[in-house]
Amino acid sequence: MSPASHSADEQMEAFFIGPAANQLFACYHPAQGQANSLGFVLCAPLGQEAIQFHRSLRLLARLLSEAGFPVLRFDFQGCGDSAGDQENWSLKNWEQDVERALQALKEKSGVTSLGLVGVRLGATVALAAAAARGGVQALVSWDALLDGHEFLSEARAQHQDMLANAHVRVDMDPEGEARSELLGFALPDNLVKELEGLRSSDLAASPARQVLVMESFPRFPQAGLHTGLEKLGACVSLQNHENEQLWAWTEDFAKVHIPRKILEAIRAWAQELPS
Amino acid sequence: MIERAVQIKSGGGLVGITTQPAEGGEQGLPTFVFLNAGLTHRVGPSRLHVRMARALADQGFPSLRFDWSGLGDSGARHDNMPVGESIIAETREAMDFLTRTTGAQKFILIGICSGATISFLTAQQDERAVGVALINAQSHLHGVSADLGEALRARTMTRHSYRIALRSSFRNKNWRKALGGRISIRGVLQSMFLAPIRAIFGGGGGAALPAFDPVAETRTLTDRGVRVLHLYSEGDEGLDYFQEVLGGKGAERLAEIGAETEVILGANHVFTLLWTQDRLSSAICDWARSFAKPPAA
Repeated sequence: MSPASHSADEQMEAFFIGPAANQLFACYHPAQGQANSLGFVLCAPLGQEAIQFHRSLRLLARLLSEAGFPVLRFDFQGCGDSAGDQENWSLKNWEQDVERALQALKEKSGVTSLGLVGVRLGATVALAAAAARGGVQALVSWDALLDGHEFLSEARAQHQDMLANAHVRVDMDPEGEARSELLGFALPDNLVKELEGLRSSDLAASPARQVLVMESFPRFPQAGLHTGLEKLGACVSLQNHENEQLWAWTEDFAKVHIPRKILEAIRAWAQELPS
Repeated sequence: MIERAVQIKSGGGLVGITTQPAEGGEQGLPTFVFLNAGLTHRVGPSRLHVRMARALADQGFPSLRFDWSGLGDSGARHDNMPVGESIIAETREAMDFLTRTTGAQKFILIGICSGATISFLTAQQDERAVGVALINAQSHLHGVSADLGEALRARTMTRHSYRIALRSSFRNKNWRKALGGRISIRGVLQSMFLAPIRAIFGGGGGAALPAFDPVAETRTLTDRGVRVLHLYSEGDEGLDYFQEVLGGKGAERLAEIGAETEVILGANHVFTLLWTQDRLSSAICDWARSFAKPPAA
């Protein structure tokens, strides 16, 4: 790991997890004040959503660390500053990344209880990784993709909308129109196959003892996940903070939306968790 | 290629990633410094900075991509330095950091949108810059008068509306949208006809502009041997700014002093389509090659 520490009021350490060939970029936010034994790993959404949501995840990390929770956020393989490119995009790879991030959080902080916060596809990956490994105390699933086919349909519709309205000419592509792409990122076939087969009902075990299901995108209701997790034995809360524009693609760098109320709701839920 | 997370003790603590080429490449090539595009963190729109940094490393060029204070992963400043000054100061401190840690002496500043503008302004102040790659730059060729900026902004927007509607490769698509009711014809006509009339009679963008010399602004760099590349997307307003301040033969005027200009047709401001990203990355890598020493005869 090659660390880089923040010297400002917001303590943070930027570093890479693992060997260069598949290193993951991570930022560790130590707990401020009395440290909780529970720490959180934040799992970002995919592609353009990850870029538009970077600032919000950093703010969430800050809110949680100020509340006493050590936090680690990271970039999945092929995303952000991590090694690789879209060829590394795979749900299976990313589930392994979650495990690597959890181990890094334990090493950095010494926490004895593990928590996850996942957003959109990051939530889907967090749910699957936590269910497979067990031992996760708390999990926040925010607008998880519960049906991969439905997600792809919605995302492709947004892409078509971008093609219709942005100053772009897909017909000038020297390779023709054969590319599989989604709002600025390639969409590899293997990931499409994985997503087409993705159903939240595939979870075979409860991902965590305590789960907060956060719903902010009305077109993807999360009630089914809430019910499914209860059947698996998790203690589940469902919160709705409607925000239709949160995941809308924007070309304008200055129109990044920070859903502060939702971030504070997550912090409040974490603070009320039984110790 | 080796990528490292670094912390630069400047401003609120700047977080960045250095990309070093694999050993055995040409020594002494300048180091690229990627500057933030608007509020997007250092990876750039659609992760373009990461992609270009790695492509450049494959050609032997080291690079740094970092966040200015208050952006991305960097901390906030707690002094009262105006942001227009702090981002230039922090860019220069990032170069100091690279000199201390890697021995780099020569730099190429590169950015999209506001990152391009700050690349230009920083290079004017810092002689270590040997090149600037200005992608969709605006507001950099008319000096620092705020009033002039407002007036130019109005003219640029009017020119943009005309060009997109009547002369760009998007015109057929846009008129189809208008006729299909997907954009407001009234809005288009307003921006093309009413806005300039209001600007003229309202004393705004139509007013006579104070004298300025965009070629002389660029010459401050080229006279020192700094290589200047303007690269524009066809759909970007920056191209209209470029044409507004330099006239229709702006590229030729800058070519006379050794500055290069390229336009990527069919591309939008943030290079959303993959083929436009390929085109941008190739253009930057091709341009970078000219910084390498010619092979021995």
